[in-house]
Amino acid sequence: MNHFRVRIFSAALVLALMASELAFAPARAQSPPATTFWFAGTRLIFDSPVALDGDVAVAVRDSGLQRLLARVGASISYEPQQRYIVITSADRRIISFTVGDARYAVAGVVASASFAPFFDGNDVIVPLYAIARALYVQPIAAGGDTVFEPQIGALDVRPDGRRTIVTLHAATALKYVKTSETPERLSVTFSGVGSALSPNRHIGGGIDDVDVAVSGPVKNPASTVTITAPKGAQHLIAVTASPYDFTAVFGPPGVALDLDAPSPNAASGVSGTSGGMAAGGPAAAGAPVAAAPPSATPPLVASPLPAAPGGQPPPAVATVPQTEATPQSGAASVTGVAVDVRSDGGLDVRLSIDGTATYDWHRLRDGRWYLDVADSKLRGPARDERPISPAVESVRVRQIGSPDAPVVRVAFTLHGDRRVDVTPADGSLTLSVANADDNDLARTGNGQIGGATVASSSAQSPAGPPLAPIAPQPETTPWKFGPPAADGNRTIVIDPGHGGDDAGTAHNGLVEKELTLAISLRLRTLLTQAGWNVRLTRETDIDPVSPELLSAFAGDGRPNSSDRAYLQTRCDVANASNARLFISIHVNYADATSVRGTTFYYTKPQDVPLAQALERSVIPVAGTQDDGVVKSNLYVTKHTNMPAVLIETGFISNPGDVRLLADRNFLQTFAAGIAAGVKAYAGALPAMSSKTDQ
Amino acid sequence: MRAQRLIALIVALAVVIFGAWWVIKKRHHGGGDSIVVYYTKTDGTTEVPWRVTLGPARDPKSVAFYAAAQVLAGPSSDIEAIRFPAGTHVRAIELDGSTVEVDLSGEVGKSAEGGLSETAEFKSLVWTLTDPKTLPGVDAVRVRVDGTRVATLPGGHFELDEPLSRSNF
Repeated sequence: MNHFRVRIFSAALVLALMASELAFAPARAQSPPATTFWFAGTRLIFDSPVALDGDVAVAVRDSGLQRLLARVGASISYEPQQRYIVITSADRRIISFTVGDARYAVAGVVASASFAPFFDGNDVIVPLYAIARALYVQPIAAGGDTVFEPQIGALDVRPDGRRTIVTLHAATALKYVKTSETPERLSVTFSGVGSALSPNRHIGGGIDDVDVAVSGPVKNPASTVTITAPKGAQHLIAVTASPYDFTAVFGPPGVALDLDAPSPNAASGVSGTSGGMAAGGPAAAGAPVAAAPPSATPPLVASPLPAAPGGQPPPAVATVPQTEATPQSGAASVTGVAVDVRSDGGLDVRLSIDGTATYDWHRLRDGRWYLDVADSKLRGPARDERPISPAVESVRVRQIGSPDAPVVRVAFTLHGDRRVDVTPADGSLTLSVANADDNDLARTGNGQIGGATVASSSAQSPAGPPLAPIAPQPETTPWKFGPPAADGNRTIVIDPGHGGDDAGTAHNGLVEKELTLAISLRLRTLLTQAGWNVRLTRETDIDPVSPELLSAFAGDGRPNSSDRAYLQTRCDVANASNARLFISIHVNYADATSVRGTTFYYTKPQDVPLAQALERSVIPVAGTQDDGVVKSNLYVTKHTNMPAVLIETGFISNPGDVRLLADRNFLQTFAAGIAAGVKAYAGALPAMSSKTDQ
Repeated sequence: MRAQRLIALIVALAVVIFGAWWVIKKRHHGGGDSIVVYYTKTDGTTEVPWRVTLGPARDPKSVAFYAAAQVLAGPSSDIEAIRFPAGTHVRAIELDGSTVEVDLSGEVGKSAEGGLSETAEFKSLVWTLTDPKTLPGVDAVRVRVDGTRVATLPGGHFELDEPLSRSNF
């Protein structure tokens, strides 16, 4: 019996060892491949390729692999002895491998490589062909060579209102010639690329068919794509953000095809997504059609979170300063709603409120909790969000009541008996939901925002006595947003961003350092005329830096000493002069040309009133989009001792903003808006000034 | 007696096979867990979460690396978002108590063309790596660029000298 047991456990031990070995067993090494590799007419030389199970094994650091990735615009994240290898393609698809697992994921589609990546000392060995195919590059044997043929790898057909957008994605930049063209039929030939798409595909809807024909030798292929739309349609070849894409827009006569134009019937427009159906597979009308990696299985990996009810976009957890913040007399205005999930899992909702208002809140027995701000208007869109918080299931902010008695309601659906703390302040109301149950919860409370703050809560039941109304209290001081000017300080420091060798951003014939100086000089004139003592951190085209700071920072052992010295010099101008305010002028940039507007950045709590005052004064006169008051960790607003704001005046990348920024009148108007904001914030000058602006 | 031995043998083999299958499944296929990754909308402030399924490596450092790499890649190209500059990748990652240190490649410096990009990019990185379900206990992110600590990106506006937390945004 004992002998029998020993045999059983010995067998079990052997099987267990075999199983554990399977988990990380390196693939069986074989000989170097007897082939030469080519890509787009040039030879690719790999450091130490090894033929392995129908693929080629190369190290992540292999110079040939790095060159191939660079040629197709991909980047790779990898760290020695770390199991994930993440590749990002030029069209922002994520390809992820894991050491010890032959499966890999391409933009949410799981495929299998012929072998699992494995460690080799400080490097990791990966399957070259699997990576290439995921990047729309097909390895093709041609005689004794292996040609990595760049391909058109995906086709998206996306309805957009009454128009249909057709987009091709390729491994390399697409160069094309139109080979035939009628209003409803477009035929385009792309040189240097093959295709993995099926040769003929019936689409339906706004597009009848898409045909793909590949010609030419494997080392220099060409692909002709013919798109046929229903009779009477028209088309337009659109400018794409990526050179790896080609986009054509089709639609019936009279429909605007320019993608910058609003989508016709936008309300019914459907946003498609790319990826998800294998090339050669069936294509539903309007469905995205994409080449999938080999051995594809249904999408498993990446998915957007479910949309909020009512067709809302995916839940946003955000700090969203809202627009249209112009206060109106009578009612208070809720000008911003910031929803913030704390690191402890709790949630903060901060309402920015302009004016004086009363509020009351109530806890219902079914987990709902709501707060009403009486006689107030929501200056921005309603919010309906499902933040990822263990404390809160949903947050809703909306306008209720009647035109004569408007009310802004904030409602939570809580996960259990979560405590909600309501903290009023001048200009804001913060609701903090704790990520823990509390057995002794108040059921109702009330308070006031602005004027004499009154905050209270009670453990009364909802059936308790009605809340006593609290009369709104008038403002007692015109200095609502700023400190009283009793200290006699009348110095303002203006910081024209960048300068000298640091031009800042430069696009569309405009240069940031020149624009910031032009606005700052105009602002100095206006503020000086109003009696302020104005200092500029630079008055000419230089990047000011203190030699003492450069020297001191170079020896302090902290990083990036020169960049820090340049920025600290600007801060020191304000700190050394004990300035009352610091205003830094900049120009913004975004890759997306549609992004525009003016943003008022702050860092310290004492910056907020100044930022708000500037926002209120600048936006109405400048006519730019109000991108709000935004908190950020900017150096100059962080390291100045006084209220400080960095104004990004407009986007040098947006055509509308560029037109404004190129106009000298706009620069003057913008400066006047800032000066008015300073006046609104700080009021009249101190008594010691010989001039006043009142 | 022989029948009992046979049954015992079958049971023992079944247990071993099940155990081996469980080990392989756990190490190869994971449990389908996902993490939340954030991107910043083009308004520069709004964080939008989306879920990404984890691969089989679940140790905190691997998860942090995977999450950071996902943030740098951003959402699919048909979604409007503020994105890290093309080519930006994770060079290394370290966990140090409640701080995760991310070493980014130098391509990130291309984003220093305005407060919007810098603020939005680092906000999405911080929000992703401080999500309590992704990396419990982590509440700050220190950024390195090409292996060294920096005060700001070259020509940039955003301070990176100290670890960043959600309260910085």
